[in-house]
Amino acid sequence: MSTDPLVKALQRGDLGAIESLYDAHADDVLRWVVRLGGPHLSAEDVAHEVFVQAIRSACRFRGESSVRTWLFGITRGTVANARRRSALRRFVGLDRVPEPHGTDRPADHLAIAAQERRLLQSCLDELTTRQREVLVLVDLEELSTQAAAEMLKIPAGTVYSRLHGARKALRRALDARGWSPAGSAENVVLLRRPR
Amino acid sequence: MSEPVDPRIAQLLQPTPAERAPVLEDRELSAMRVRLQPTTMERRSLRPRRLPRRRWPVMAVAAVALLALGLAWSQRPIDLPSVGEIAVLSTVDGQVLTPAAVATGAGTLVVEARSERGARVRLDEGRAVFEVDPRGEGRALVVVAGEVEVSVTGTRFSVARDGEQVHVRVERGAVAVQWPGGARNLRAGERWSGPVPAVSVVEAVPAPEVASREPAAVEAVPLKPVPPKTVPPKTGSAKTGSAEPRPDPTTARSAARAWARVLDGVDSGVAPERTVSAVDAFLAAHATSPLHFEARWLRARTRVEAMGDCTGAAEDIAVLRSAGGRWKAQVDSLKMACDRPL
Repeated sequence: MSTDPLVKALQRGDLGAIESLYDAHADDVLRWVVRLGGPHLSAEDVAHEVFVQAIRSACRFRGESSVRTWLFGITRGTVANARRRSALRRFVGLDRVPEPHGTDRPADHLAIAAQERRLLQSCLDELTTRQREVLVLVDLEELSTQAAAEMLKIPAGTVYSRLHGARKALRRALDARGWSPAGSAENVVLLRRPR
Repeated sequence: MSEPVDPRIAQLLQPTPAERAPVLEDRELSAMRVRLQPTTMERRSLRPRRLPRRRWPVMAVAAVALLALGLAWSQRPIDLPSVGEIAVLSTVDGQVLTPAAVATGAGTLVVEARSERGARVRLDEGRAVFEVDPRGEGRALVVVAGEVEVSVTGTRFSVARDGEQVHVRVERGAVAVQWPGGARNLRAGERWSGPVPAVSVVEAVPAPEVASREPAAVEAVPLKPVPPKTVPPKTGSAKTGSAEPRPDPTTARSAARAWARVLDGVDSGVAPERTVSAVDAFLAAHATSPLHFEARWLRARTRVEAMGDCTGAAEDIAVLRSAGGRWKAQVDSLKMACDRPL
């Protein structure tokens, strides 16, 4: 069993611990969902579902990995389920997804950013789940190969091979959509929390 | 021991410059990292759904008065005079909203915006009584005190702030109080206090006699501070409402377990009718649970998307829309699906 006080408190059903879990990991989970989930999911809905699942399964968490790794595992499963449900809804026509607008839209930077995000999510959507997970962890989350291997519970060599395929697939998807990084994006300093 | 590789063969095995070039450039990945961040809206909409305990804001109490739904506010800040004075906000159509501010300290009532059809006021400290008699359908008065939202249609009620405490008291009519962790309806004579560290209580208090029902009657409130402490729960003859807004941990865990069972059923792909029944049962047992918006959302979505029952989902859609924020945005998509011609 875990000796992590947070995990122990979660297992007791301590509401304060649930809040602490949110405080520490809500941003990470939301970002993972945005990057893994694709353009069709409501990121906050899925992120919330992740925490509901985490609270439900806290008693089964043995503490063999870090809380962050444990949460990532739940996020993977939750995103996969949400993607399946979303795909089914789209297949039967229940979900209508707005098509990306052309560049003749009003130059609202928020709209442009949202459009670009949807485009990038669509590109990531073309990767297989395994490729996407590796690419998100290594190239977007900037984890080391070893750390990504631990998160995904696969050998480091597998991370390398999947990453190679993922990068090539993403390259094709980006080229097919004619995406290039906007000038503004290069000037943005991405603030990352120290880990 | 292996033989050394022939240098010529080794040369041939070297990657070509094209192969050596990174498939994805750093600047591309950097841009992707920026673009694939959660939006501020997503972060905010996730936040209020945390279980609130120490996370109540330091509570600037805001009172937002809307006399009609879907208003276009004019941004015209007005600082009302001094503490204890009464201000009257008039509207063009004769509707009058009268907040009477009574400060317990150095409080002020600030009118943030006024328009032909409504007004937005913020109560930093003290107490304000709102009386409005809306005429016409679809007219509502919404008072937001920090993250507490009070919706009324034709009533007299007061909102008070004392430090981190928010007190809502209904003297006539009915209001709906919402806060990040839940919601409940208050009728005449009831009052609600929150947020508090431990327990809040909705307690029945005698409703005062109101002689006149003219629209927009003006009544000043007594110039006395609101007691800061929470009213303890009463038993016996007094009609006591359910404890709000912080359910005790046992109740919260019970609701969470019940909700988990509902979700388990959904995950295992039960018929939509069974999902609706499960949510019905959940809401019947945990009507005041912070999860009740989740439940209503699931029920409404199931009815609309899986059963095509827009009529059945109407009530949940209305409740979620009135909850505002992300719920309104989400439920609007359902409403659009219902409004879409077949």
